[in-house]
Amino acid sequence: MAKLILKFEAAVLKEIPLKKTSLSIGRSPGNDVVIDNLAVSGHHARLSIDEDHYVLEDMNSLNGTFLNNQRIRRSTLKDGDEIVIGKHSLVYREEGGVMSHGMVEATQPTQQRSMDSTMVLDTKQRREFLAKATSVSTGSTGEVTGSTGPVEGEAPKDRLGCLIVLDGRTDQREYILTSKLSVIGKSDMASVKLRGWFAPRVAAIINRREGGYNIAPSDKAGAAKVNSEVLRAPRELREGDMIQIGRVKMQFNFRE
Amino acid sequence: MQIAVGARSDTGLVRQNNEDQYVVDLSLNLYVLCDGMGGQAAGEVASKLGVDTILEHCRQAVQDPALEVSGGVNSEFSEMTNRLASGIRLSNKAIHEAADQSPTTSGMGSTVVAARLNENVLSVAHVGDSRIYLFREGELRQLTQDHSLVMEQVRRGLISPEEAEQSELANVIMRALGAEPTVEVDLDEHWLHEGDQVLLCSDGLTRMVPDAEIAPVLTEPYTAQQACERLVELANEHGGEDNVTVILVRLEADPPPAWWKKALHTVLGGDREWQN
Repeated sequence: MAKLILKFEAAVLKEIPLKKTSLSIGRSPGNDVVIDNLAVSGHHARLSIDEDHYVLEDMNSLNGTFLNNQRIRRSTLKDGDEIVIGKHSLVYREEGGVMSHGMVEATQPTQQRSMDSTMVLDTKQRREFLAKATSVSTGSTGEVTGSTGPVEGEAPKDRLGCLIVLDGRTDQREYILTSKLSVIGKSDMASVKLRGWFAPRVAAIINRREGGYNIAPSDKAGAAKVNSEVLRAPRELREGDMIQIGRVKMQFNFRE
Repeated sequence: MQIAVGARSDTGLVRQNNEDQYVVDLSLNLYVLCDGMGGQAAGEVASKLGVDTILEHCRQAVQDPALEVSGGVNSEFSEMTNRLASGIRLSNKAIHEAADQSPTTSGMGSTVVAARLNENVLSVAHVGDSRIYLFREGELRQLTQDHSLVMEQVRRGLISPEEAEQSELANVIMRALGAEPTVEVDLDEHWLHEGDQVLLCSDGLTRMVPDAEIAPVLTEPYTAQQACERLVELANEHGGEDNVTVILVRLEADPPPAWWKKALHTVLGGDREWQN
C-alpha cells in the first residue's frame, strides 16, 4: 500500500497509509491529514487517485504546495516524491503499489485520531522544532521574524517572602520562605516550629506559587488567624498580613 | 488518617503488548508509573528499568539516608522530593545506557510520574506526558504539565486546548527518560487533606477519557481498586487504543477510636486550647 510519511525537519512524525481514493491535507480538523501550523491553509492540498496513481493538487492555498522544490498546482506523484507544505514535508512512498479503485475501502473520511506510538525529540530537534512550530505566532508565514525566546525567561523574577515573628515562642525570629511548602506547627515536618505543650501539630501551610504565596489551613481549621480572621480556606498572602496562631504573631513581608 | 490504594494496568484493545509499568510500595508510600516507548519489546524494557531503578534508589535511601542525591539537592524542596528526583535521574541514566548497548533497544525511552506521601506532604515528580491529578472536594485538578509539543504550544497561546486534543502531533513529547544522558525533572509539593484522592495515569487513560468523565468515577462509592478497574474499563469503552495504567491513592479518615482511647484523650487534655 502506498503511504505518506509526515516529517518536520528530520523528525518523522507519522506514517499515513493511503487507504482512500482521495485524501485532504490542511490545518482544519476535518482534513484527513491535519497539519497543525499556521503556515498551512485550512484546506491546503488534496491527493486523489487517477487510474493507478495518485495526483497531488493544491487547493488554492495561501503559501503554496511544493513538489520536489517546485510550486505546483497539480502533479502526478511517483515513489520518493517530497511534498512540502509550510514547514512540514510529506514523502510519498509507493511500497506495494497503489491500490486500484476496486481495492480501496469505501470508507468515509472519518477523522482518525493519531494514537501512534509516542516519540520524543532530542535537545537539538526540540529547540528547532519549538522555534519553528511557534515562530508563526507572529502572523508571518515566511521567515522567522519574532523573537522566540524561551518561556522561562519571560516569567517575572520570583519575590521571596518572609515571616517576622513579633510575639510568641518559635524556634527562630525570622523565616525566609524559600520552600515550595512551609508548614507552621509543632510537627517534625514544620519549618516554622511552634513550641509549647499544646501547640497544634500543623496549624497552617504556606504554598509558594508563581511569584506569590498562599496560606491554607490544616485539616483542623481554626488553628490560625490571618488579620484577625479565622483561616478556613486557602488565601493569598499580601505584604503586611498578620498571621496569628495561639499567642504567636507573625508578619508576612516580601523581600527585595 | 489512613491510605487506601488501588492500581490497574491493561494492554487496551489495540496494542499487542503492555509497555506501561507501575509500582506501589506501601511501606515507602511510593507510587511510580512509567509508559515506555521504542520498537519491539524495547518500550517494556525501558519502563521496567524506570520503575525498578526509582524503587531501588528510594529503598536504599531508607537504609542509608546519606546516599548521594543524583543531580544535586534543590533547597526549595523537601528531602523526600529531592530523593524522588534523584531516583528519576538515575533511571534516566540507566535507560539511556541500556539503550546504547543493543540495536534492539536503541532509542527506547519512557515517561514517568512518581508520587510519594510523607504524612500530609505529597511529593510529585514527572517527565513526559503521563499525568498526576488531585481530586479534592469534587474537583479534578491536574498537578503535572505534560511535556508534550502540543501542550507547549498551548502554554505559548498558539493553539487552544481543544486543538491540542485533535492535533496530529499529540504523540510528540519534549522530554523522556532515556532520550539523553541527563534529564530535567519537574518537581512539586502539595499539602493533602483527609478525603483527597491522587490519581496517577498513563496517556492511555487521558487521551481516551475526558477529565469530565474521570471525575464522576472518583465520587462513586467504589473502593480505590474498583475505581481503578472502572477507569480502565472506561478507556477501553472509548476505544482502548493505547495501554492504560492507573494508580489511585486515597486519604481516608481513621476509623473512630475506641471509647477508652477517647476517654484517655479527654483526661490528658488533647483538645485543650493551646496557651503559650
